[in-house]
Amino acid sequence: MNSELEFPGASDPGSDAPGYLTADDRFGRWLEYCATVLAIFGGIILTALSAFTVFSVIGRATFDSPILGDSEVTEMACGLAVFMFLPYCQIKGGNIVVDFFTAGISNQRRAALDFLHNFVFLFVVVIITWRMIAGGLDAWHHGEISMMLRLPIWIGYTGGILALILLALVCLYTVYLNFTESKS
Amino acid sequence: MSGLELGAIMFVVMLALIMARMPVGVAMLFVGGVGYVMLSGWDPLINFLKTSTYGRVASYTLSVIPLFLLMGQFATKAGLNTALFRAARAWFGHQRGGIAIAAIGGCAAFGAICGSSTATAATMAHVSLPELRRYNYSNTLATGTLAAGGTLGILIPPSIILVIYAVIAEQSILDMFVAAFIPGIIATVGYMAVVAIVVRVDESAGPAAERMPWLERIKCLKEIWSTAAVFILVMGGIYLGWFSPTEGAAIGAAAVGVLAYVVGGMRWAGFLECLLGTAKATAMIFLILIGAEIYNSFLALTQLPVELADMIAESGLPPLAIVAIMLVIYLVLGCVMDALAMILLTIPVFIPIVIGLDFGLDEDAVLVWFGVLAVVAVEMGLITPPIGINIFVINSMAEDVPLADSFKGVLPFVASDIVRVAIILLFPATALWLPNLL
Repeated sequence: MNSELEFPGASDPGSDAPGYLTADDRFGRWLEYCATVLAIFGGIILTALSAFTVFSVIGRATFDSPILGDSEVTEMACGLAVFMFLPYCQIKGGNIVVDFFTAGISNQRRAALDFLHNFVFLFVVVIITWRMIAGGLDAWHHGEISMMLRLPIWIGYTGGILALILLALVCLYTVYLNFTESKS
Repeated sequence: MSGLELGAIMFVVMLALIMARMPVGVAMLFVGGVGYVMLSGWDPLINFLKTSTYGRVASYTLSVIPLFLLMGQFATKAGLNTALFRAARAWFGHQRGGIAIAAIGGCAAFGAICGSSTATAATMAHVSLPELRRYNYSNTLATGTLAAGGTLGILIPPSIILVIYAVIAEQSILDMFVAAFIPGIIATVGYMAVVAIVVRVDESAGPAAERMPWLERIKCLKEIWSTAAVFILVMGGIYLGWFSPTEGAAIGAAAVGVLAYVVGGMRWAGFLECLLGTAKATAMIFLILIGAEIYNSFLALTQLPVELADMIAESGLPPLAIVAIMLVIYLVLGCVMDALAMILLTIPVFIPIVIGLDFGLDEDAVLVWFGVLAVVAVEMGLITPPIGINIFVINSMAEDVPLADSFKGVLPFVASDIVRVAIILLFPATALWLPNLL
């Protein structure tokens, strides 16, 4: 069954790495949809940032009126975009894997290995998310703000945490997929 | 167990996990985290993790990476590849092997606005492969040329790997870009020379095409103004200090995005494709960067890099031989491993070693020079068997060509790479002359 979403551009002809996941149940398709929408949203932030930077630089060069603290906007916007990209990459199986040494083994064994790896990934993501929540709460309680614009740092943390939660869900789902695959 | 032993053991464990298909970033995160806990305990680690992930991801310097990737994605949609290849073809096509030489030139020019190697290979192959076949170029030469030509994207600035090296080695991105410029030209000329030699050995490999009249040639040059303008704007602006590399990348992305809309006819679907392509490539890189942050903190705790550097400095081996050994390590690792993963795994260990060696240069110069060498060496991994990602990309586009032919075709180019590494190794001025001039 074809699992590609009815989403313009959801297929990625520039990439040669075949996604090893086929999300063909409802939860999987829903996750894939969420991850795709989130990634597009991140991409739009990035594109908007490009346009913003053009204006900022032109303003600085011609009217000598730079947008104050534009680097803080860049930092936070790019950070948010990167977090938003993570679930998409994982559900598309886009992370860098050395598959040379395991090329010869059976599909079940490969799925069993991936089961372990994605389980580790899930574990690590849960810990990182937990710690980022703690870090975000710290930033909130201490009222941490950026230097020039006084942007509250917790905003960046919150966006990142939400994306990481989706990443954890995707990892959980890949663990489940690998598990069923290794049994088949 | 001493920190040193732990560092060595954990390194082996991590390599084993990576060989067993654990994603590279996850392996670094996991092994680094476990090692960190064993050395300093659980509490310091979870404290460190409170801010380290966000700090790594929301970093002004690293913002340059997604922006350059976005620029590269737009470039593949901007239709610039056609104009670039046509111009190069008009000037070189009538020579023997000329279409292949033109493809190399096109790749080099495309590499000047695209920092990724596979994207360069795929985009240029899209326009030049049909031409190469139309003029009956041999399968080996056609696919080998394009796979090798793609690697120019990684060396000629803007280059993602150079950015990442600059960040880890604490060198300026601008210096790295400027330093890679002459090696990039040497690479281009070297590849063109390879084509010229191949077609002299085997005359049927690359027949000459018809000669273009001068008027036509000039006309073709006019069509590539936009690529040249973007390159000069971005690189020139960064170099003149008008804007930072991050701002340059953002401006480049915006400019190429407009070109993609106006010239390339990119609309909503194409735009989404660019965003998703950027998303995948960015996430892939940042997962490894997040992993490297933890792993390298652990590595620093073990003292392993410093001790290893001392040991090697005292070994009495000639400095050049030590650097040569490192390059051979890259070559071997490159056969099975991704370029970025190699850089992030090895640079934290190699840098203290390189700094400890005496080349008669100051520390920053050594790091810039070594960075260019390292990037050239890991870039070879993209075209060396058995895993040469560029070869796979090109081969999937030329469906009737056996993979073995493509690997055979790329060998002369690998030889040219080795010569180039030797030149840069023996004459550091090839990398350092231009930055010193600034």
